Amino acid sequence: MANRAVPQRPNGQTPGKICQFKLVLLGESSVGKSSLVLRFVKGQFHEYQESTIGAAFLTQTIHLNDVAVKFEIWDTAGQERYHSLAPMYYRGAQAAIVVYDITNQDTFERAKNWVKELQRQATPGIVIALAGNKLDLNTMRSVQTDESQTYAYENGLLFMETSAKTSANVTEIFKAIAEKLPKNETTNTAGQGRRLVESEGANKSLSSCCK
Amino acid sequence: MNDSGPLSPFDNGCLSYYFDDLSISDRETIAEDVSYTIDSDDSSCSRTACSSIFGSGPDELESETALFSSCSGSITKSNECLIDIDTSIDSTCPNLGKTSECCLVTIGKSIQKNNYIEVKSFDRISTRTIDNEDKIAGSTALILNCRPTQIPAKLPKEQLEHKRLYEKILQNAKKKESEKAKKHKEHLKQKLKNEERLANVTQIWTQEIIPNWHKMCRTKRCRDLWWNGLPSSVRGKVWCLAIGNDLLINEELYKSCVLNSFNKFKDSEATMDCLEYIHLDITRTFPHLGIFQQGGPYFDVLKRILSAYVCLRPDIGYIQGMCFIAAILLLNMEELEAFVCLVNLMESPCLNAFYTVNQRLMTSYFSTYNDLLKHNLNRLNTHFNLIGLTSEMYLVDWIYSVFAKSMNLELASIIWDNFLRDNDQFLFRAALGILRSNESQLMQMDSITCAQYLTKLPESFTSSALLKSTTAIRMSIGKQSFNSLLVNNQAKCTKNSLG
Repeated sequence: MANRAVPQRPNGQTPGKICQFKLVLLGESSVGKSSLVLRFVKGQFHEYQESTIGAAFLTQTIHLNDVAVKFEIWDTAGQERYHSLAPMYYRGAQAAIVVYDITNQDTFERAKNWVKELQRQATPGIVIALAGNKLDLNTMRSVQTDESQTYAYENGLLFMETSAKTSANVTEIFKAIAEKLPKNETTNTAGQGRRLVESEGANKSLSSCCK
Repeated sequence: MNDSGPLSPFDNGCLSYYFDDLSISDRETIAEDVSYTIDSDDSSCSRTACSSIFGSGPDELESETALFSSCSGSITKSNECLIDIDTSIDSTCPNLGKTSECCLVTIGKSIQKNNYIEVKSFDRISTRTIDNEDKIAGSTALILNCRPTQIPAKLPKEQLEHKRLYEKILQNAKKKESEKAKKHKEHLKQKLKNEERLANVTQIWTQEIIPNWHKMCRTKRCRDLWWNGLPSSVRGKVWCLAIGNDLLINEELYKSCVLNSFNKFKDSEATMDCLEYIHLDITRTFPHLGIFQQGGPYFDVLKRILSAYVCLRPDIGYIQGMCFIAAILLLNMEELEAFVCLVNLMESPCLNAFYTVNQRLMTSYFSTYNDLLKHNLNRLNTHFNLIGLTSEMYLVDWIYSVFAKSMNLELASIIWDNFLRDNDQFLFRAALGILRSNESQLMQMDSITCAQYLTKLPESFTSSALLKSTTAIRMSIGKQSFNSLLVNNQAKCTKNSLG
């Protein structure tokens, strides 16, 4: 009887509040950005994930207590040469996942550069998560957990080691971001900020996430 | 005693006798049968009946239509099924006992409710011949066979009503069958017509146009044929001719580039980086085709072409997206031809601007496109502005891969055909054409859904829809052509960057 977990909502029903956030994925090519998204959104994994050009777009909603958090995911292409297009993609993002490959030190260095750039140029207050992906290749690891953990702590980032292949920590990292995102203010930055969406569920009241 | 409706066959257990002994496959057939016999007026009932036979939830059988059509399609099967029941009747299958009893109750209820099935249908009828001439009438036997002796006779009124309902079912099924047959016939006719047309067109290309390329390529006849897409058998050849070889790339040069790319001591780190990116990207090029994977037939070839390109043009190098361009070329021509085409194609102003990531030029292309979007599709443009969808969100993907990534290859090939016919401006014309023919859907979507939709267009989007809507797109505004719009925008961009 005493089920204290978040009330389960039958499919289709959404709670009164829906908060929408733009989340951008950044990181070196082939670290598994698209695979993380595919795992999170569709629960799938493809050994050969088609390379992304420009950006790919997906959405996924997760429920936190009485709030539905809808992620508008912008999954960007990783190649350094595309770097100058990046501001176009992270403009107005409220959250970012910077991904590196735990078996490749260079990708970690690149991730650090992304973090620096985001902290300097992206939306102020952007929630940044650092994801050390390919945890399934732990035996080939070249970036130590301690190192990334310390770096993340010093820079105020969320940090998790993930595996899109085994799905380890994939939902968790998105959930951690959702928890950290402010859901009670009306700050709407850069024109593409968080939008309030009217409830699609049976509850057609005037509730919105800003109340 | 309240006596509502006819007696159910299940009350006296005659059906359970059958079902207890059925194998899984028999249950499947029976389910089809039952749901066929029970009129689809009460779909939930028949659905329950079927699903309880399969032991699955009612949701798994999605639509009434699907169910009913699959049932009417299996009329032949129903006869076989009866035979199956008969043959399996004496064998025992203890595992199925409980479930089948449950499902019988459900079927029983639904049948009772619908009143359509005749008790006799499940009586022990041994052999039946399948009437090939009239498959539907073949199932008559299922319904009209004699009633088991242990069940009281029907009232005349009831009998008439049952007969009427049965005939109604039969008529519906017949109608459906004939409609299906008609459609199939039309489809075949269309297919045949297309094949004939294709054969004719191919002949014109191979015998008239290709041998006289320079004379013919600008004629109206040739260009009109070209617009509708090239037959795949001449596609590679025509593409080669259309792209040309202004840079005079020959086999010798290609070979030396390939050799250079194998040389491990590269002169620059940038080149090394490019080669690494190429290696990573080959297997991620059209992975669904399964031919560019390591060990696949095109892995080495694609790698050779791209590496050779990097060695020939270290100033451009390799940029993600190029693998798709090279792959499309390779799918239509030989290795050397593909290399020649790749090198020359990369010189086209638009692709060059994008592949050198020249932001000033890219911005002027986007601005030109935006001008044309507003001019051609004002309503959609207003909607896009409202939802915050910028052209870059989908155009980057479209232009870098020349549409190869966001739609099926058949459709992309037709865009390629016309891109090589009309050059750069067709890229933007096609983009507007895609928007135009998907306008009603896009008007309903928010920005991320639009971007998602446009970068992965549905399979239902056809080449005829694309060509039709693209034809309607105007590429000039007043007296300003695409090129003059572009030049204006370039001037504006330069001014902005200086200011």
